[in-house]
Amino acid sequence: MVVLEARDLRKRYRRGDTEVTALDGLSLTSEAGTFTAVVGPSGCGKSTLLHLCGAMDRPSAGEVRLDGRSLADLDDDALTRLRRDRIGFVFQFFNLLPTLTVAENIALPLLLGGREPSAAMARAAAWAERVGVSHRLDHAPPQLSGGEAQRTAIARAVVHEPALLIADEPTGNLDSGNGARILDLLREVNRRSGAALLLATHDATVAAAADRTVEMHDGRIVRVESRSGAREPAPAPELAAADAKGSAP
Amino acid sequence: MTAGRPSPSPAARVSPAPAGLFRTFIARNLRQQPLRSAATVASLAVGVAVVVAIQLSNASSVRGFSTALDALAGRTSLELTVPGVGLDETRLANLGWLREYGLVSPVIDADVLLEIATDGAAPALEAVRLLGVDILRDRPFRDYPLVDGDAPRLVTTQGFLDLLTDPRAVILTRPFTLRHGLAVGDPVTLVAGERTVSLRVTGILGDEGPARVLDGNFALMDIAAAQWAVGRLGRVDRVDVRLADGVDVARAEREMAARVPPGILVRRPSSRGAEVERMLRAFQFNLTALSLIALLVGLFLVYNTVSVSVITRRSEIGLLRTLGVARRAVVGLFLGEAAALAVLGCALGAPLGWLLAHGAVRLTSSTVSQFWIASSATVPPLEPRMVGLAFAVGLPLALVAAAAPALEAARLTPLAAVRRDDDLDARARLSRRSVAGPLALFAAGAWLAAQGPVGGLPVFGMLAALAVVLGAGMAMPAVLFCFRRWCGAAMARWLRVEGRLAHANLGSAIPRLSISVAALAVSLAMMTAIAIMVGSFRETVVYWVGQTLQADLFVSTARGSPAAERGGISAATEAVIAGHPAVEAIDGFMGMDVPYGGSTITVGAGRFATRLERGGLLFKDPADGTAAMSSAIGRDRVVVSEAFSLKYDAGAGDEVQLPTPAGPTPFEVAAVYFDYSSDRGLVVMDAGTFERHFGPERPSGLTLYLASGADPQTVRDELNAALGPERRLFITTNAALRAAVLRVFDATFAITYALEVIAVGVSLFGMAATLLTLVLERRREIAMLRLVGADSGQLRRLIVVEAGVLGALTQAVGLVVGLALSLILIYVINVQSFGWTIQFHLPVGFLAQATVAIVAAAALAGLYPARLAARFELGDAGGIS
Repeated sequence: MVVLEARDLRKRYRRGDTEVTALDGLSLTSEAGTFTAVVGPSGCGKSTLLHLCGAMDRPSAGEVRLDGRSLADLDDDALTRLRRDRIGFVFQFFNLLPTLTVAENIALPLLLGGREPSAAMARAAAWAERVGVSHRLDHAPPQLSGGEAQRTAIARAVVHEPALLIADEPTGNLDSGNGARILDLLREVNRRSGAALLLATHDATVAAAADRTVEMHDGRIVRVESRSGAREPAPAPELAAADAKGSAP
Repeated sequence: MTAGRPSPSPAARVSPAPAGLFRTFIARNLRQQPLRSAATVASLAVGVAVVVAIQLSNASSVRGFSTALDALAGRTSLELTVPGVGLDETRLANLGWLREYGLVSPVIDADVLLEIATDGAAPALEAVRLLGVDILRDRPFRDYPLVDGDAPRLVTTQGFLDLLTDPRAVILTRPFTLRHGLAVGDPVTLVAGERTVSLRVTGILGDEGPARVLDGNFALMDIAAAQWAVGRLGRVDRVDVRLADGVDVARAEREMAARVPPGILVRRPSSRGAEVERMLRAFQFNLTALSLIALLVGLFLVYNTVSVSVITRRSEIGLLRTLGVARRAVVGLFLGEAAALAVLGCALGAPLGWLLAHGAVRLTSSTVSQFWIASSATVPPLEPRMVGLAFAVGLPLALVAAAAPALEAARLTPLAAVRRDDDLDARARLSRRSVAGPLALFAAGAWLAAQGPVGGLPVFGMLAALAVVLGAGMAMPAVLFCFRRWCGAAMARWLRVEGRLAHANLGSAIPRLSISVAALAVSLAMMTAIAIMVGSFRETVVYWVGQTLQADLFVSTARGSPAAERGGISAATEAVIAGHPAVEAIDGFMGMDVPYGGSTITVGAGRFATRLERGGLLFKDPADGTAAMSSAIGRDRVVVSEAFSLKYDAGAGDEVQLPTPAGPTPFEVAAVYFDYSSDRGLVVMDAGTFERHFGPERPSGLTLYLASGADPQTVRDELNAALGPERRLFITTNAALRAAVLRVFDATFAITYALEVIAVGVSLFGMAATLLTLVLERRREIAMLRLVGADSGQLRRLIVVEAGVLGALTQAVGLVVGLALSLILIYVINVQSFGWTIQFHLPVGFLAQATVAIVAAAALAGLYPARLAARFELGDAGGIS
């Protein structure tokens, strides 16, 4: 089942006096339970792609569909609700709220969604158990190690059972041992929850773990490689559009 | 606002010279934070303005009196008076020897009303200072420059004499005649006591000499005509003496005092001014202390601004230190920041204070003239001295306020730049100091409250209040810690996810919040204390009025002046009143000002027998005050007010020496009674005793007791008809008088409330500024919340809940500390300044309303930061990409 569908995405913004093209007609689909790694040099547009797919930003042109629904006509608060209900985020710098405990951080999407607090906290505790931070439930984020903080962030990203999991360099701030453990955890969560995982990374080891690797350059996809090792040419926008139409439910 | 626009670190572009460093590191930063800088400058300006306003208004009430005094005294060196009743003319013959010292001029000096007919409308009534002189003797004493329009009108002494020979002649001032459209030859009516006298304007004085009294409210008459007009035939109020050149004033004063017969006082005109100043001192001292609270709040905010500036720029300071900037220079930079803010604040505060003074004068002048002296309600111009005062008060205190954070900045090591530990310390611990400090201050407050007054002023009481106020401020971190420790669950339950987040945010920002919250707590505590004190006072006065105002009707002369005037209601008038069939009993009261113990008291006379029969005095001491009072009839015994008893330490059985025409005479204090009509001290004797010592005097007021069943309103109308329009008397019913008493009471405390509202407003403003700072600092976290699904409504509610919770917490502290403060105000400061026992009363309704209002206002203060937070872009969640 297709969860994410990005069609002919373009993103331009101004930096000072110059206009920068971050994405230049990019299309991508992602199915439930799949793990897509986005690779490429710094500035190639990986993060911009993730922001657009994660409903954090709007494209200059093109369209993003989540669960078959276009994000273009949603207002700011509707996008916020969509993120809260359907998307999970993991970042390089963990981005936990330092003022909340680990348990509250994990439960945050549920609490913001109006879930009954005791149920939300119980669910957070269950996820803490699964990611291995249950001994830290009442601690504040500054007291955690890097690995613990990222495991907490992963628990927060999946506690509300999102359809799409966005991870931007999730291992970039960790040593290799912790990085490997986080990758295993993400992979496991991805398989068990059935969420589509879209992960940007510089790390070849991380990319190697994905079902599919999308390589970007200058705001375009230059190569798509599936896990079997077969190389696919980058789809032209019109092809991708046709492909998307064909695979629409 | 620099939201979303990262600016290059000023530290990266520092120039080495201190001035250059200040420009790049401090001044630029102040400009980049325009809202916070403006908030600090504004609150400091308001604090300074309130202090300046109160000083100006205090100055205006004394100024009115002392300029009048100076203008009237002219070149008088010494004056001879008989306290209260004036000097019998027959005694003047025995004072011929005064001419050995210089020139002598007897005068009549009285407060009267002038009635000016207007076209159609009710006639205008104005209080005027009347001077009656023998112009032949008086010209060397005072200047009377006659004018004709703008041009001087030169007249000889003989010509001047001719202007005044007519007993109906009066000379008025140019400002007064211009105000009322009067010209030479126009008629005016003089009202003194119940008497009215028709006069004619025969001359106009230029704005010089005595004419400058009370903005031109001055009238000059011949002494004999004046004696007749004010009903003082055979008496003069003073004999002025102008010493010959070369005669030493002090020696002359000593010698003359030794030579005059007993009962006559010799003193310098300026001593009256000193008495007035002493009389007003307690009132003005209390106002000054209150105005300092507003300044204190402003200073809290300076401390807050510099603290935040230091906390948020730790790494930049570390970088400066790395680049070789000395510790002393760092201290200098942040003191410079405070100084820059303070200079602006003071520069704005001085003129703002002058504007505020107009309001303050309006609020205080009625009180001052009700209780103490006739004063002109004009604000003195803003002199350099007052601007100097603004800077002298604001600048050093701002530097003191900034000293602690500046020193903290200097203690930072170059490592601070590398460590980047400038984020909020999410789990700061409660230091021992923040518990011990407030406890020590509260203990000091308790000790100070137990100390006696200093020179009649509640200095220790004020220090006790200050200790409690500072203790409350210092206790805020501990209160916030308690909140963090115990209130999380309740917040999460009642206010859902917003409550949970607000609790977490507030709990983690304790070091930042403490100061601005403390400033708010201080002003709320003061507001609570003042509300309790005024509420208690009001209840006490209501009870006292209910107990003491027993008579059905009150008759008084037209005068509304503070100085109890002698004479007034003639025997004929009283006979008319007594002749009314419904009038069962009449009590008469008169009072006069006499100097006593360096200040002024009122010595009064009443008809004790009527008073005792009808009841209506509340005695403090002895237990059976009624018996003690009846023992005073026919003997040299007096009853004194509580204020007199406390100020001069005279209880029942003690002896007081009162000045009488026969010299100082001992009286025994029979009883002490409660009185809230004046703080100046009242000594009351039976009318018979008074007459024996001071001579026959007519009462200035009568209280009438009616037969049961008689309607006071009807009797009042019938009496007015019987007395006719020629007698200027005011007859007031009991109910109307009670209402008037409470009106005066409320007017008296209007200034108190006004000062408090300003202090609370400034601190709410400060809290809003702090919340804004916090929101800007938490930009990343707020964007993070947006990312994980907090919609704009939730974010707005979150910030508003934070603000409301802060308001509720500070109001809770304000209520508790305010209660303690009110006890100091009621039982220490009030008793020591005014000598009033106030029964404690908690104005529950008012406090409940105030609490709701404060929480709502605090929540409103969060609206702007809340709107800002809801507008943050997701990109603000730095580190996402």
